[in-house]
This record gives sequence, C-alpha cells and structure tokens, in this order.
Amino acid sequence: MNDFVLQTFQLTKYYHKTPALDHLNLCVPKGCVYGLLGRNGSGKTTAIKLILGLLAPTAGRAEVFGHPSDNLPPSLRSRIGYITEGHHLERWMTIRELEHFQKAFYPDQWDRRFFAEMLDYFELSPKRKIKTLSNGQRAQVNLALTLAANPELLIMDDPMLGLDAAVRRQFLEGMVHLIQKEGRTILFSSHILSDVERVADRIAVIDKGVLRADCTLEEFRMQIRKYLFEFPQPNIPVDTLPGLIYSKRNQQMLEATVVKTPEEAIYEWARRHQAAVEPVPMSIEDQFIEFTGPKQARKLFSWEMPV
Amino acid sequence: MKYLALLRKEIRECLPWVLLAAGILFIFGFQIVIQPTTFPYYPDDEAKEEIDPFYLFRWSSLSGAGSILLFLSLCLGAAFSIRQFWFPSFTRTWTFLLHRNITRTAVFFVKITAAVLGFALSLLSLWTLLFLYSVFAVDYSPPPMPHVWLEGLFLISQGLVVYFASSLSSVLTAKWYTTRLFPVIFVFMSLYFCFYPKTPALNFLCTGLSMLILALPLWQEFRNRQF
Amino acid sequence: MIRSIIHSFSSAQKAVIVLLVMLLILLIIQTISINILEVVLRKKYSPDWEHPELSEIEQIQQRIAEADKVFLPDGTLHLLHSDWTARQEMIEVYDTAGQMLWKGSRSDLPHEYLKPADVLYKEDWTGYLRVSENFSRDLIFTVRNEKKQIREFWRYDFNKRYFTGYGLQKHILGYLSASGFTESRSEIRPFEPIQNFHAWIPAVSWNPRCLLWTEHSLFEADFEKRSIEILYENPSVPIGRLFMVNWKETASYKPSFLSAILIDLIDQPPILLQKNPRKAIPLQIPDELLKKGRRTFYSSGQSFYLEVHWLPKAPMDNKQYRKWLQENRDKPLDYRIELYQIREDGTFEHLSQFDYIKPPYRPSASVKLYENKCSQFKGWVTFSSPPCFAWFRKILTVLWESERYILEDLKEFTERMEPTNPYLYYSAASVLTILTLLHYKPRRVGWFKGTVWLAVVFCFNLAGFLTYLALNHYPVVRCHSCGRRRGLNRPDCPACGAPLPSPPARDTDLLYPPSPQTMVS
Repeated sequence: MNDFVLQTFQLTKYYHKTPALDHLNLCVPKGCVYGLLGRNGSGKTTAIKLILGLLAPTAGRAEVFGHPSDNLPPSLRSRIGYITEGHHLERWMTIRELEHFQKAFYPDQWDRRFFAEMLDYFELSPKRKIKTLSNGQRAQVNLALTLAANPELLIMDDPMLGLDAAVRRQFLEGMVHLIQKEGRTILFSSHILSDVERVADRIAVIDKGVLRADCTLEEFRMQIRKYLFEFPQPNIPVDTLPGLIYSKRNQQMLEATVVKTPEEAIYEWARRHQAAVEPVPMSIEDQFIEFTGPKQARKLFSWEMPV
Repeated sequence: MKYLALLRKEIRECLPWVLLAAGILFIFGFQIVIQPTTFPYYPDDEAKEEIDPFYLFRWSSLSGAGSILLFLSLCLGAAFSIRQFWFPSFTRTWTFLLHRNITRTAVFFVKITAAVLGFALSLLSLWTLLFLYSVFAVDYSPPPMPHVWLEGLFLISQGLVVYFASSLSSVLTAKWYTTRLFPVIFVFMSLYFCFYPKTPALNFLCTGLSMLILALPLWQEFRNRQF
Repeated sequence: MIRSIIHSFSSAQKAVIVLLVMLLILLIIQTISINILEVVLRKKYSPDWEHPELSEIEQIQQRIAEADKVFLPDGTLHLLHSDWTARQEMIEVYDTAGQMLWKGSRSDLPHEYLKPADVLYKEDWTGYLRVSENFSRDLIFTVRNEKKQIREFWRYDFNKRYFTGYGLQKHILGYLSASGFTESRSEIRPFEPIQNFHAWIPAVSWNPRCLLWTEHSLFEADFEKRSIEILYENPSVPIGRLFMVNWKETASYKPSFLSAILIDLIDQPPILLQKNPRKAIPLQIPDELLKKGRRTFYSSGQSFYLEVHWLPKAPMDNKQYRKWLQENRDKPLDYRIELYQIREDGTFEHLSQFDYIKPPYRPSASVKLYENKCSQFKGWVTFSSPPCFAWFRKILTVLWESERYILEDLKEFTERMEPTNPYLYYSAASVLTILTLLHYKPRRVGWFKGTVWLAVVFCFNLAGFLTYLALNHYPVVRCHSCGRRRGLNRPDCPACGAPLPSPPARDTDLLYPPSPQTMVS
C-alpha cells in the first residue's frame, strides 16, 4: 500500500525553450505538512498546477492519491482543497451565496457549523459581497470555504501573500486544525519562512526549476552552517573549502556558509590554513537565501560599503 | 445538485445582459410592430407600364424588427462569451471554477446551456410575443407567415455562432497571437454564407455547420486548456 | 475511441477555420495590391490614352453600327441616330444608303415604325425571398376601392403556390390558384413554381394585373375581379422566353396595333398568342432562324414580324461564339439584320435584310501596355494563391449553369485569387512544401499527420503554410544525446528516442526523500 498522497516522477515543464520545472521527483507522505520553498520564478506554482492537472507537463508525470494528475476524476478532486495565491473568488457573490454554491459540490462533506464558526471568528457577515472585502478578508473567506469541505489533501499556493500577521496567524491555526484530523496532508508554498518553520514537517526547495533540497526541517537547519574565518594574510583559498555555497570576504576575514560538511572537516581546513574559526548562528531565512543564492556576495547598490 | 448550482451561477452572471436585451427588443420591437405596413406602388395614381417588383415584395410589419433582433442577438452572443469565458481569465477565477468535483466537459455544457437559455428567455420569447401580436392585431396588413417566426429563430441562432466564435478565441492558446482572433474573423465569413442560401432549411444547415465547426474545437480546447 | 474521433475532428475544424481566414487575408492583400497597381499605372499612362484613330470609312461604319435600326411595316429599314450636341436629344433619320431623311425630336417622328415587344426572361424571384437582415418578403398585391383606399390583400405563398386573399381584419376572402378563384381550400390547384411574373396597372382601373408564367403554363391574374385566366397551357413543353407586344392596356397601348404574346418554347417552335381575336398560332419557324443571333418580335396594325440580328461568320454554339468574339475583337465584324413577316398560318416571309460592318476595337498602345503590366503583376501577386483554385474553378464552371445564383460570388472570389502564372505558383507551392517538411521533421509525432499537412500546404500554398505554422510551431532544442534538433511537443527525441536531459546533481543538494513508511505528524 502506497502511503504517499502525492508523487511526481521526473516532472518537467518547458515554457518555450526554458525549463520552468526540470525533472522534479517529489513524494509527499500522508499526514505530512510539506513546505515548498523557492525564490520568485523558481517553479513552485508550476509544480502545484502540474500536480493538480491544471497544466500539462512536457515530460514526466504526477500522481495524486495514486491517480495520474492529468486526468483527475471529480471524485478525487472533492478530496483536494486548493487555495490559490491572490484568493480569487467570484466578486459578485455574497459570502452566503458562495457558501451555497460551494456546498452543492460537497453535500456529504460540508461542515456547515464549522463554516459559520469561522465566519463568526473572522467577524464577517454572510451578507457581504466579495467585492467589498479586503484582501485579507477574502483570504479568510477562502480559507473557510476550503476547510469547511473537509479536504484530505490541502494544497496552498502562497496563500499568505499580502496578508497581515493576524490573518497569517489565522491561516496557520486553520492548518493546524486540519492536521489534527487524522490522515490529512498539507502541501503549501510560501515566501514567509518563519511561518514555514512553525508548521512544516518537511520542506522542498526548488531553485531555477530543479529540486535542490527535500528533507525534514531539522535536517535542513542542521546541514547548513555558517562560519567566520580570520586568516593571517589576505590571500584566502576560498574555493578549497568543502561544501561551500556562499562566501563573503573582507581582507583577511571570510564568512562562509557550507552544506553537508562535518564540523571536524571545517576545523581541519581552518587549521591547515592557519585561520581562526568561529560558528555563526543562522536564521532559516539566512539559510534559505544562501542556499539558493550565488556563491559570492554581490553588491546591489554602488554606494554600499564594501564588505 | 452541483449542476443546478453551476447553472444557476452562470445564468445569474448573464442575467443583466438577458434583461437588457429583452428590454431593448420589447421597447423597439413593439414600436416597430405597431407601425402600419405601407403599400406604395401607387404614388401618383397613374397607370403604370410595369410595377417594379421591389414594390410588390413587401415586408410584414414584424420584419422591420429583424434588424434589431439580429443586432441584439450578435451583441448578446458576444456578451455571453465575454462573461463566461473571457471574464474568468481577467479575474483569474478559472481555478476556482474548475477545481471541484465536476468534469470540465460538464462545466462546458452547463455554460452552453446557460447561454442557450439566455437567448431563449430574452430574445426568443419576446420574438414569439411580437409574432403573436402581429398575427392577431389589426394593422391593415396580412398576418405574417409562419416562416417569419422561423427566420427570427435563424437570426437568434447567429448570436450563438458569435458566442461560440468569441469563446473559442478566448480559450485558444495560439502559437501566434493573431491567430487567436481568427475564430472572430471566421464568424464574419460564416455569417455571409449563412445568409446566402434561398431557403430556410439551407440557412439553418449553414448555421448548424458553422456552430459545429466552432463548437467542437471549443470543447476540445476547453478540455485541454492549461490555466 | 469517441474522444480520439472528436479530437481529430476538432483539430481538423480548427485547421479549417485558420485556413479560411488565411485565404481571406491573402485575398484582401492581393486585391489591395492589384488595385493599388492599377491606380498607379492608370495615372502613369492615362495622359497617353488617346482615343483610337478611325479612318473616314470606319467612322461612317461606326455611326451605322451605333444607330437604332427600325423598320417600317413594308420592311424598309431606317437608321435613327441620336445627336446630343444641342444638349437635348435630336433624332436624325437616315436610310440604308446613308441619306438623311429627317431631323427633329423623338416625339415628332413622321413615321410609325413597328412596335417592339418587351422581352420577359425567367427570373429567380426566390432571391428576394431569402433571409436577410430585413427578412424575406411576401409577394403582395393590393386592391383598392374608388377612393383608392386598400380594401384587400392578395399574397402569394411560394411554398404552397397559390394566392390567399385577406380583408382588412385579416380574415380570409378566398384563394386564387390555377383553378381560378375559390373560397374552399379543397378546390385549389396550385401553380407550378413560378418562372417569372410581370405586373402592371391598366389605365381603365387602378388595380394591378399580373402575367404569371410557370414552366408549362401562362396565366393572367386580375385581382380586382378575383380571376385567373389561363392563356396557355401545355404540360409536355416547357416555356422559355416571352415577347409581349401591345398587350397591356396602359398609357402606351396603341388600339390600332395588334396585340400578342410570342411564347418561345424549349426545343419546339414558338406559339403566337393573339389577343383580339384570341387565338394561338404555332409558328413554323425555320431551323436556321431559331439558331441565329438576337431575335425581336414586332407588331403593326396589320401583322406581326420577327427581326433577327446576327453575325453570319460566327459559330452558333454559345461557348464557341463567346470565344470567337474575343479572338476577333480586333477585326471588323460583319453584322446582318433581317426582317420576316409572320403570316396568318404561322409561316415566315423574308421581307428585308441589311448588312453592315462594325469597325474593330483598337486600343491605344498605352492601354495595351497598361493591360500587359497589370496582367504580369497579377501573375506575381497571385503566385501565393492555392493551385487548387485552378481546379476549383473548373468544377465551378461545370456547375455554373445549374447553380448560377449561389456560385456567382464564389466564382468571382476564385477569379480574383486564381493564379495566372502556373510556373510561379507551382514552384512556390513546392518550396513551401519542402519548408514544411523541414519544419515538421524535428517536431514529428507521426508521419500520417505530417503527410496530411504536406498535402494541405501543397494544395493551399502560402495560406496552407501559414496555417501549418500557426498550429504547429512548437519550440525546438538540440538533443543532448544525438545533437539533432527535436521539438518540445514530445517527451523524447524523434531521432534517437532520448528523453530530455536531467539537470546535473550538485554535491550541495540536500535530497533525503521520505521512505514509504514515513508518517510524520
């Protein structure tokens, strides 16, 4: 029995001659909260749309609940909740009309009381039209609509974009509420790493369409480390540092981020080059930026102080 | 239940256009229909060597509403297509509509049904009313022949052709941008060929053919469209 | 399987839509180009467009050819020449020797010439009835009272083929059909499909009369009297044309002249239908007279006449005649006009004959140059037209006679677009087909589809090629395995079958995918 809710096999998508997604192999186990991370244009939305069958792949395939995603039957779609970035809903409808519309598609699974409670919690009147709601309020309605249908798999594409901290907190609480039910799975993409850190069990990092990390959050945090070196002379042999992914030099000082390099190897390398070494704590945001960024620091503005 | 919910939503979205078209046809149509028909081949009360056949082939008073019916029908077709196919692209609500436990084909056919119902409610019903009025009202002209009602139906069906063409333009993911407009250009050609034949049966046949040529690719493109 | 059939059909229909629009765009561009060139060339050459010089004899011949040729009852021919130099029409009457006999205004002509008949042809009135934005129309005759107010309507039903009368309150008054007036539907005998009708308002009444004819019958309807008179009926012989002389009692009616209708029958001698006294005389018209050129029917106070105007040297067959006329356009043409008197027994007596020459058509050198250049340019402009239009036009020509009305616009369309230089357009079609092959090869998904597209491009030339590109232009990359170009519309290389290259793995990748037993909550 396959315990993977979602799997992709060499999933590839080309836009014109550019690969937006390149041979993605992903497995999302049941009951997991999976965070999909990547810079702008890295292919996260493309991956999600391919998984949901909204795009056709150039090569490879994806499966959801063991079923090919390019031909998901309606019965399977009713088990998948999908929240898009921007929370685009029919603007002419009222919240009540939207509820009735949505309910018609989930007659057996619809949790009417839960929906009412959520509206009450968000202090939204059912008579309000969608077009009169702010971005955050629309997100709240979208979340309520999706969760009230009791989906087994919840896929969210950057749902917290443009939302304030309070609404983001509500989103996270909604996710937690869902996870508490047995066997529910969440796949979400986000740019707000602090939120990812709070709820995700596993993360996948996509860089320029290629999967570069697929591990638990702890593994990610443990494997990426930063050190500060001080060399006796300015000639710093940076390229010989094993596992180097990012460096910033300033005369005899070197700040280097390494991946998958044991601490002993770092200290051995420092000793060989007669450098003093000191570990530097990193936030997950720093880890993500340096994992997906260029190897050497670049000045963005010409008036910046040299590093 | 879900199909009804979807149909209700589609009809509700098109309702303003339905009411607008019905209102215009009602106001202008009745204005035209109550005008008496003129028979002007005796302008000077003189003996005529030959009566120009132009004066012998007369329109019924109802026929005068044909132009406005055609105009409304074409506009309504475009309006339905914009509301049902173009608008979701602008507002990015396709995923909201399509990611649910219903096939794309079902969504497609519900949209078509809503459009056909819209035409029937607004234009066809009013056209029938105007026709019945012309049959029974005393306006000093012979009652209109049954084929006049059929011809009204033909004019309304042109609106459906425009609807299919415009919708196809919307869902096409053409390799060249200009080819996206080709169904709209095609509809002008098809309108010409639909009006050309002499008999109503051929008119309807050409219309049916145009609809088929547009509707099948529309269905196929909609099913395979990437959003 | 149904899905794949629908998919194939819809792909074909998409191609049809794009192709038709491409053809239309091509036609518009070609037409605009040709029209622009014609305007430019016309401006360039028009100062040199002099009227062709005619010799003195040719000028006289021209005057004779252009003059109206009219006969007196004894067969004497006069030539009437219109002179507009005084800003109003002055008629000059000449005899055949060229002597002027009289000059004055038309209304003062001293002689009573033979009265010509109106020629009535078959006409397809259903064209008036087809659906348009104004709808089809009804054929309606009104009947008025002494105060000229409408009291009845008589409407012809083209499907049921009889007239229905309506009063002002829309109640039915009765029916007029081939069996005459009847109040009951059961007594109706519908007309055959009407070939044509001719209506007039007589001077004696203000209500219309109508001559209707069908394939085998001729009727005269009087709506005021609610009557239909059968003038002629022969179920086995179809009616061709009608010549109607002095029949209608309108303002131009001459009581002293005889009235008749000459009924031209198909493959049978015509019938002369005299009005007073009413009798039908089969004409014993000689065969050679039937085949000769243009015929006109006349009457006088005493007799009926037939005039024949023709080219003795031209072939009798219609198609060959037109071709011969085109070939001999630049030569003098010998015309002959003959007058025959129709005797009471239907035989013909040759009364007189006049031969004259029409001078040749001689365009100026500038006109010839202009026409040549236009023709040359058209050859270049239409190189991108589909070769199939040439074949399509041949089919249309065959169908032309039977479906003329429908095909008229299509014929005009293909004439505009028809390629005029076969070497150019077949070369263009071949080059474009080769280009299509080169384009399709790296993108191929199957050779059947490729073959269809190659055939479309060859048959439709540039329009087909543009259609192919519009619907098949997938991006192409180099295969990492064999180095050949391959389309991205398929997951593997068509040459070597290699899949798309995987991205190179990095040492720094953190790839620890979950095992099937992983159940992290």
